[in-house]
Formats: sequence, structure tokens, C-alpha cells
Amino acid sequence: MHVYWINPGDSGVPTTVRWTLPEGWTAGALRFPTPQRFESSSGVAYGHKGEVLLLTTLTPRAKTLGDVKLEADVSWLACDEACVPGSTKVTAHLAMGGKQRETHREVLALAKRAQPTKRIDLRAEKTGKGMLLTIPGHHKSGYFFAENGDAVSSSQPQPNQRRNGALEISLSPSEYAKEAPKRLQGVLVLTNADGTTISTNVDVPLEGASN
Amino acid sequence: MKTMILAILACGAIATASGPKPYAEAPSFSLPASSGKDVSLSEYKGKYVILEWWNHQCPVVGRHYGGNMQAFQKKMKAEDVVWLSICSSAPGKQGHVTVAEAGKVMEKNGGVVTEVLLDPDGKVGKLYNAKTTPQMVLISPKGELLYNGAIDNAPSARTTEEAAKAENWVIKALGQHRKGEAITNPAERPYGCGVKYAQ
Repeated sequence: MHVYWINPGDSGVPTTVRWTLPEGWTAGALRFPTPQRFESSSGVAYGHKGEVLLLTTLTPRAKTLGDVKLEADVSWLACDEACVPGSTKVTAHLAMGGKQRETHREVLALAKRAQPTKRIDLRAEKTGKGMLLTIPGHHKSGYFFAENGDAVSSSQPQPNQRRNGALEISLSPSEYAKEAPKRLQGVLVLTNADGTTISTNVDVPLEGASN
Repeated sequence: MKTMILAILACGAIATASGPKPYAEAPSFSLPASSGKDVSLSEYKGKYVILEWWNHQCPVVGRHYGGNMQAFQKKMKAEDVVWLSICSSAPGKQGHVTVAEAGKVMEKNGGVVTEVLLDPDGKVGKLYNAKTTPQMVLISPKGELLYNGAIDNAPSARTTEEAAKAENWVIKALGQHRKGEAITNPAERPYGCGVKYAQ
């Protein structure tokens, strides 16, 4: 069973959270853990299995004091061979203005560890057939999860090759692409020579894109 | 008289040159239907045809059948558009129905469709690159493929009310084609449950 990333790939629906917050509070975008690929007879889906920890930054109104109630209405689609819907409403109470207490330290550490790390140096350029990512360094292989599902195909393989001291990853445009994207955004998972993996956030201009 | 004929011909030529680019031909197929007969796409030449990839146990299909899908189907029926629901779930997989069950299941769901077609080996689904349920296809009266993709622009809608406000890509393409306009969104990325193919 798996749920879906922000770009679910060839099928699926991403998990969404709707907040009910005190006046003046805002919730940032959901921060998903590094996704995984799930292959099935209908293509390649992007998502998460097991315990999935999603992070959001809540910004309180200045000078909020006393008890506040935070409500989240969560909805997801979980699929394996079959798909089942899921939804839940969860509530948390916070005492504002008192002494700061660190709670849920362990679960927060776990959530942060599952997130992509900071950005690394790489280039993205448009090629005749699609797009090419060039990552300097000794990485053995890699896979790019595009945040915008219309930009990069999720079902086509991403051929890897090492050239001039860098790893090159070829990306095919999605069959639903409308125009070449101006930037590539998403998560890159790299495998090192020793078999360990790292995942990084990507947000780079696509060189050679028209306009 | 001669001048008038020439003028008409000239207009025709201009309209063709500036008209929308030619569409691909919708692949032909023949499948067993819930009515007991075999149904071919070619039978419906002269009418618009909608194909709906259908898995009645898929939660996303279920959400659409909360009322919006039936309203959409009734609107299409009133406009003389043929509606073929195609089940490409393999035997033993989610949403699979037999010829005998298909009509009853669709009726129980309140669907207003021309036929339910059974594609248990997934051949027609793969011919049309159907990836999800619901995935929608619109075919012109001449047999051209006008639209293939998501039903609407609201994958994360949670209620019937929210989904009713979504932009329906099939209705948009149909309206544009009827007016002789170019179709601005001929292929939008589908969402929903992956089609439960045999392999």
C-alpha cells in the first residue's frame, strides 16, 4: 500500500491537508518526504509507503496567547493492487505564550530525516529529444522526480551515463507537456559508488528553453 | 453564376487552410457489451462518442459517481452524445465485472450510459493509453480523437459540490469542436486509480 507524492506520476491523487486555524494564522505548503517509484501494469506512480510523515510550517499571528486549537482535515488515496480512500480530521491544542516546550522531538527528527536535503550543484538543459541533468561528482546513478507532472514523463526510463567527471541523466518530456518548462523543480535521488543514497531538492533553470 | 461558384470554392479553401490541425484517427475496436452484443466504435460514426474508463470500486470513480458523473452523462445523452463506459480491470482485480454483472452494477451506480464494454485483457485500454479511472476520451462524428485525459482540473476535489465547480475537459473540447474552434486542451494528465490491467 502506498500514498502519493505531490506529483503522483502516471496515476493517483496526492495527499492533501486543509487547515482550520485561528484567525491570522497561516499554513505553509506540505513538505513531502523523498518519494519512491511504484511500478504497476498502468505505469509508474510516485509516492510513499509505511509510516509517512508530512511537514508543514504554521505561522501564528503575532502576540497569540493562551490555548489555541489547530485542526487538519487530511485526505489521501492509498493503492496497492486495489485503491482505498482515506481521510481523517485531527486536532491539536497548543498553549501559546508559556514556556517553550519541545514536544514530538523523535517524530520530528524522523520526519526531517525523510525529507530531501539541501540543494547540490547541477545543470539542466533542453536537448533535441528531452532534457538532460548534469551532476558533477562521483555519483553512480540517479533518478529525478519532477514536481510538475506535465514536465517530465514518469513512465519513461531515465538513462544514466557518466561523462567528463559527471553523472548525466536523460529525461523524456511528458506526453501531456504543453510547452518546455523554464525551470526544473523536484527531488533528485542519487546513488553513490558505495551504494548509499542521498536525495536533494532541485530548482534550476532549464538552459536552452525558449523564451 | 460562374463567379459565385468560384467565390464559394475560395472560401472553402481558406477555411481549410486556417482551420485546426488534423486530428489523429480514433483507433477502432470491438468489445462485448453489457447488452449482450458486441459493440464496435464504427457503429457510431456520425455522432460524438465519449469513452469513460470505469472501475466502480475505485474511490476516485466513486467520488465522481456521487452525482456529477450522472449529471454529466444525462447532459451528454440530451445532446445525443454516445457514452461508452469501458472496464479494463482484469479478472480478479479491483472493479472487474462480467458481461452479466456490468449492466446491473452501472444501474446500481445510477449511471446513464449507452453501453458498458468489457475489456478484461486490457487491449483497448492500452490502445487508448488509458492509465487511470476515470480517464476520458472524446471522439468526433468523423472518428477523430479530440480529447484523451483527465475528466477535469480538480484531482483533489473532496465533495460533489467542489467537483461541480471544476472545469470539465471533455465538455470544453466538445464545445470548442462544435463551434469549429481549435481544441485548447486536447490531452490533460489523467488522475485517479491506475487501470487494473492483467499485466
